[in-house]
Amino acid sequence: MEDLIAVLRYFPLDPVTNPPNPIRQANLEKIAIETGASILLHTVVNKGQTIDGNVIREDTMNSTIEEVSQEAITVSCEDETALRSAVRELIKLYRAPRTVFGTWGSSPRGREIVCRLCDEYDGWY
Amino acid sequence: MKILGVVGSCRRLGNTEILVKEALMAAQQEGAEVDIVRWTNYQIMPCEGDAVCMFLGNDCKHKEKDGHDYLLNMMYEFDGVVLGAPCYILEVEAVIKQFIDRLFILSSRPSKMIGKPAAIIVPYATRGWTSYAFLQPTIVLHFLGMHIIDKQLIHIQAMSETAGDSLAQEKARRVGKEVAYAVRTGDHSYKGDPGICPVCHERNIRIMSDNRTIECGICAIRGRLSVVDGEIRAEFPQEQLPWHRFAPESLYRHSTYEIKPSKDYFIRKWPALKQDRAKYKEFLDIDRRAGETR
Repeated sequence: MEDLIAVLRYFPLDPVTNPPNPIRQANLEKIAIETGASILLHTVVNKGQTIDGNVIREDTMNSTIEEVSQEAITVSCEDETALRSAVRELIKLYRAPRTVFGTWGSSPRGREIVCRLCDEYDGWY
Repeated sequence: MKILGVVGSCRRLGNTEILVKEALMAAQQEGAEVDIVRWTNYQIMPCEGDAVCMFLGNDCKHKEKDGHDYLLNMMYEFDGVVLGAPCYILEVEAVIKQFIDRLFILSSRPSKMIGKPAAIIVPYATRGWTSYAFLQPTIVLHFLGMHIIDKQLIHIQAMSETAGDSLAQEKARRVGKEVAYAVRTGDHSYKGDPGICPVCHERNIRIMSDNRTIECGICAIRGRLSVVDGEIRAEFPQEQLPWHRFAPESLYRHSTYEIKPSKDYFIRKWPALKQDRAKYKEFLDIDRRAGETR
């Protein structure tokens, strides 16, 4: 069976709703318990990053996608239903990743599921 | 104090040209040095969207082939702009959109119009056919970082009719004076119809697919609608305003996190995509009529 992995990459200020809603480990743990999916949060700080006032400055054109400052949420499980439930909750909470490469690292089936759910549940486009 | 009149209309001595000139006459009386350019006199080729200008830090590949770079640099010589374009079918002439698309070049060569004042004049013929009249002019000026201080729709029908219409001329003159005042004093406060969006002052509000949230489609600020005593109210939280789409930090964020990382994405995807797209090359030759002229 193919691994079901969905990666949702949120770059600085992506998960902004109204009011701002930063990604919190506690929220992810709650969704993981409720859905049965494994959810991991990986925070990346680009090695060339500097802070200018309230804004992060970095060279992203010469960085790999994985090196860009971001919060990457990886959802994995064997059961598609659980994966769907978890991703759906994440999108409701943090919006969909804003870019196509925001799902980089997902398995092919995982990415397909994420894309369909983004179209269906992201109320922000 | 130098003010440029930009005319986005093909018609010689038509209403747009007349109104922009009327605005410039008023600005001149306020002490401005004025000049005018007709964008439709220049070819502006379509952006090909390959982002080479950004990824390679080059100038646009069309730089030497058309007038876009020349027109952009011309604008940089001025302290304020009066932009006029006629509204035909709901929107202004396409030259404005052509100009906007080529502003991708700003990702590697930042605008020199940031913080300068501008105003928009749009003549139109039929009430109810102006829904998006200010859309492209607002986008182009905001994308350049300019402060829009007024927008005027001017109702006029016959060719060159504004030459004898004192009301139309009065509106245009007011715009010209306002831009001159804004350049001279630094007071860029908005003088036109306040509209609904507190940033761009447009009234084109989108209802998002959650059916709860509203958004200004131009500025991307989000808020809520309510009805109070039968009156529709759109409320946008104050904290949204500094993050509107065309704010410098928003444009930086868009460029830094939504565009530039795609270089790595393209590089990694390209070997597979070259194979995947082969069947589309074989299926129907879309360019077989390229040599034909009409």
